[in-house]
Amino acid sequence: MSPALRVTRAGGALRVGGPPPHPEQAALVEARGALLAWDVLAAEEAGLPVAEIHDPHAAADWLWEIYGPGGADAILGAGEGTSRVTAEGPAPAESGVLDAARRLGHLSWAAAWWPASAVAGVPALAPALLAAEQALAATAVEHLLDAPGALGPPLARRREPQDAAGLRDPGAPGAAGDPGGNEPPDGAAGDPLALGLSDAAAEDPVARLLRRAAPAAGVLAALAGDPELGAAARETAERLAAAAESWGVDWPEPGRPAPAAPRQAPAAPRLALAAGGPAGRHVFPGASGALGPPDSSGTPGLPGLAGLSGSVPVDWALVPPGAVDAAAGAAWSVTRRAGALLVTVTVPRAPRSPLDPREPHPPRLAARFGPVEFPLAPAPRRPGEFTGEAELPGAAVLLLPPARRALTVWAPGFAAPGRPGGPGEEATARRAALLRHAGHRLTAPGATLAERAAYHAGFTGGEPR
Amino acid sequence: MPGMSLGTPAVGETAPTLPRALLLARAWAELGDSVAPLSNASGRPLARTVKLLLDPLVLRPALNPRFAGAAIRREDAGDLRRAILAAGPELAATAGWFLLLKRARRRARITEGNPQDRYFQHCYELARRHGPPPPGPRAERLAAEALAELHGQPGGARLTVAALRAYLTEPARAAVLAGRLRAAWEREPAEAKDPQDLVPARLWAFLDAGAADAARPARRERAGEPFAALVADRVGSLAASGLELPGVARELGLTARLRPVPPELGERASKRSLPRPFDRSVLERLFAGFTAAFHREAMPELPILVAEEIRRTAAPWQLAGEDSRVAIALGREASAGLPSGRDRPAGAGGPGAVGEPGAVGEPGEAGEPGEPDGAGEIGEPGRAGESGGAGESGGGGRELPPNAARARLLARWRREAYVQRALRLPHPDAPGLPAALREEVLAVRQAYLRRLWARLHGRELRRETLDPGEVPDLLDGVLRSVIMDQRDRLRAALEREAA
Repeated sequence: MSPALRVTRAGGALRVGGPPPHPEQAALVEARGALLAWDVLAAEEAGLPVAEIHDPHAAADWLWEIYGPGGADAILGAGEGTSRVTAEGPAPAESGVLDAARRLGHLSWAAAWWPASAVAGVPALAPALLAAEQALAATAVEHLLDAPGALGPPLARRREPQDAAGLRDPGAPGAAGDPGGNEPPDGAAGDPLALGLSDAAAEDPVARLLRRAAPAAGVLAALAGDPELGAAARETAERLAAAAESWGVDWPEPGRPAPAAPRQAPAAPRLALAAGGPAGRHVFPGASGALGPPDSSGTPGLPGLAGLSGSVPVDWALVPPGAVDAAAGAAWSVTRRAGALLVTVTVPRAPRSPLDPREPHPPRLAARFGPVEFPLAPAPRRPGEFTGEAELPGAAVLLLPPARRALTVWAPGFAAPGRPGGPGEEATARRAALLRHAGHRLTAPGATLAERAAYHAGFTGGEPR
Repeated sequence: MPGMSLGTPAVGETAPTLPRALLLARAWAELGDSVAPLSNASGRPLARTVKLLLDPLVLRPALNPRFAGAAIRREDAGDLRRAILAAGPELAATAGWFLLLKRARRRARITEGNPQDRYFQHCYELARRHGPPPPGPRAERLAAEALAELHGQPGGARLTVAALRAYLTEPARAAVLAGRLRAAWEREPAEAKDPQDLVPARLWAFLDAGAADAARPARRERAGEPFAALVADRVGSLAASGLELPGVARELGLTARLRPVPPELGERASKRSLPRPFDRSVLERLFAGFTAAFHREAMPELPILVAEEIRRTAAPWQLAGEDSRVAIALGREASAGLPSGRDRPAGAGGPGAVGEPGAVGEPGEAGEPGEPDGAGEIGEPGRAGESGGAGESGGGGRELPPNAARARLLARWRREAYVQRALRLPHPDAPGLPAALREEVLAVRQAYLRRLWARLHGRELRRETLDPGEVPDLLDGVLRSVIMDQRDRLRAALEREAA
């Protein structure tokens, strides 16, 4: 069964397949000369990514690993304009690289968009495990990853000093008075990138991922004795240590204790997950409130001002990963206190993985309600929530057209607040689908270690610990 | 996955050529487990195995042009396979030495450098000389000796920042050096002007070469001659004329001043606050080269380094080699489509905002209020190069149509907005981001030329020649490096934000 792919060539660039998926559902692999993108919501069997090839010369090296030799040939030979080619994909025996690439893409999607939610029953993934698995997946496709032009200096390409454009200065003073020379160079530990020096070791994509994965050593050590996950954890740890050695990345020694002992996970929520899964839950309450949805055009009754309330979904695109519960909304209510009209906003924090050794700082969040903007902070008595309140300039705010007094929650320093009104229908539907997808992934046959561990540990919600 | 069978010919293999990497992968698989230490987790030869061992030492495309390029003619496929298999014993021995060196490295607690980069070719030499590692202590001794040699850093011991600082600041010597610096700048020959205004056209032609058949592997191999011609005609130096005019070098991000002035000798340097390239002191320029500890052994003694650097500061592009100058002139031309900060209204920007049509976030989701991130649309590839860079093209003031290299850079940059959103990085326009970071993101072209200059300068310090075939990769790799750096900074900004 060979899928027909659309190939579009225009101005030296080639596109394989349709337009790339929406960023929230894109599993990306940055390959040499091309960007590969899988749609995480697409049917499982499709398998082949869309590609944006900006350097066909570089991509020719590996394109056959993804689309098969015949497919690669047809893609590279496609004429100007749009044509259809048959891409059989790699032969089953040669599909390991395709699978690994797709896995790498999935992991990078999960690191960015995994919709951890206590409300929807999607537990958080441990960032350290995700990073570890990303690094390992990268070692299987390192030959096609985007890398600095030159991977390390071949030995035989030095020019002789006297050859350097006549720069040798015959009148240079001798080295007689040269002081010192034995101290370690004080800049040697510096980041060569900051200086613009090409250092292949610093820019190697596998080495980058391995460095980011270092906290996993402790997490994996803590999992090593687990009856269910121990074998996988030990194997992952061994492969990581070997890869770190091959890429020259500092790696915690096996005997060293974990940076922070993972917390004990409560066992109960797991049952809830197993029983219903997120699909059966109430996901995305959407906009609702005592006044009806904020986009209803009803005029609020003035006498009941105090006690007005509502909720809107938080736009994922406006907050960083792991900040707020992906399915819960931001709730607002208006109260009267000492003659002032106050609006209070509450947003549940995202659940965290019990395997996450770091205690993350809460992100900076802000809310806008009508004309007022105010910060949200972890609630004093309920650290599982962000909350904030502000005085409304007057009851007239509540008479504004709904679109202009709608609540928006965003993370300053991450995004601009955008237009009021919250995510639209398309975004809401996509995010509900992503929540379902995440729920399925937890028990899918090809689940990653991070997903299995999350399912195993259950989710802890944003409760104080 | 290692040992995956590669023997079955796949469907559709009737084309007149086969991907070279496919043939390599199949021949490699035939070598089996003996070369596993040189393989990646899919059982393919590691990228560096190809780059540092198979290409330069086994296949040697310079001697065997039919093994060059990304596609191999079907009739040469058998010979290529036989060449790899014939090298099997040597490669297996190389793999054995590599394991030994890695073990010795661990014992010696060496963490510097990438072992593949640093040891592969040395292991091949050991394999040539000694065959597979002999059993017993002799192999261990040879491995330890190799490590000592590889990490001995003869240059590292003499070239330290402290020694450099002491050399430059010793009062009597400093006076002499300052005089030389003045003399170099006074002597600076008025570089010949480009009488017929041919420079932009020649650079353009080089950058556009291979556009028509970019899919075909000839690009790399064909770059040599035209590049040599650019060097021979001193096109790089000619292209530097005008840099001394007010604002020109500043527009390119190479100086913060209205026009370049002779640098100081310098007394201190900090990697955190390096000025723009032309504003760096002699100390800062050399300091940058010293930080790559790995390469110091290739550098000459301090007095020579300093004397060279002083002369270099007064040279066209403040680079010594004509090949470097040609490369940065090419970079200036190729980067002309990237946003340069100045030609952009405040607030608009970030990657993808370059050309209006087809840019990320433009079409598609108009009906979705409050959804600032747009649909999954990467800038229309065909439009790359049609906009941006209207202000300046290659320094000649003459407008040239977009060329292939420029289109490639622009395509990479356009894509970046989409990638950043998919990675859920902070939006470059977020109000809370540090202004310096936003400036950096908006003025990509300047960041690009700065990094290109630093790379070329670093190459000169390390005495590396510029292989013309590498020029396209260099021009593309610099943008990648700038982009990766931006991502790191955005990520760091996010973490700081939370703290």
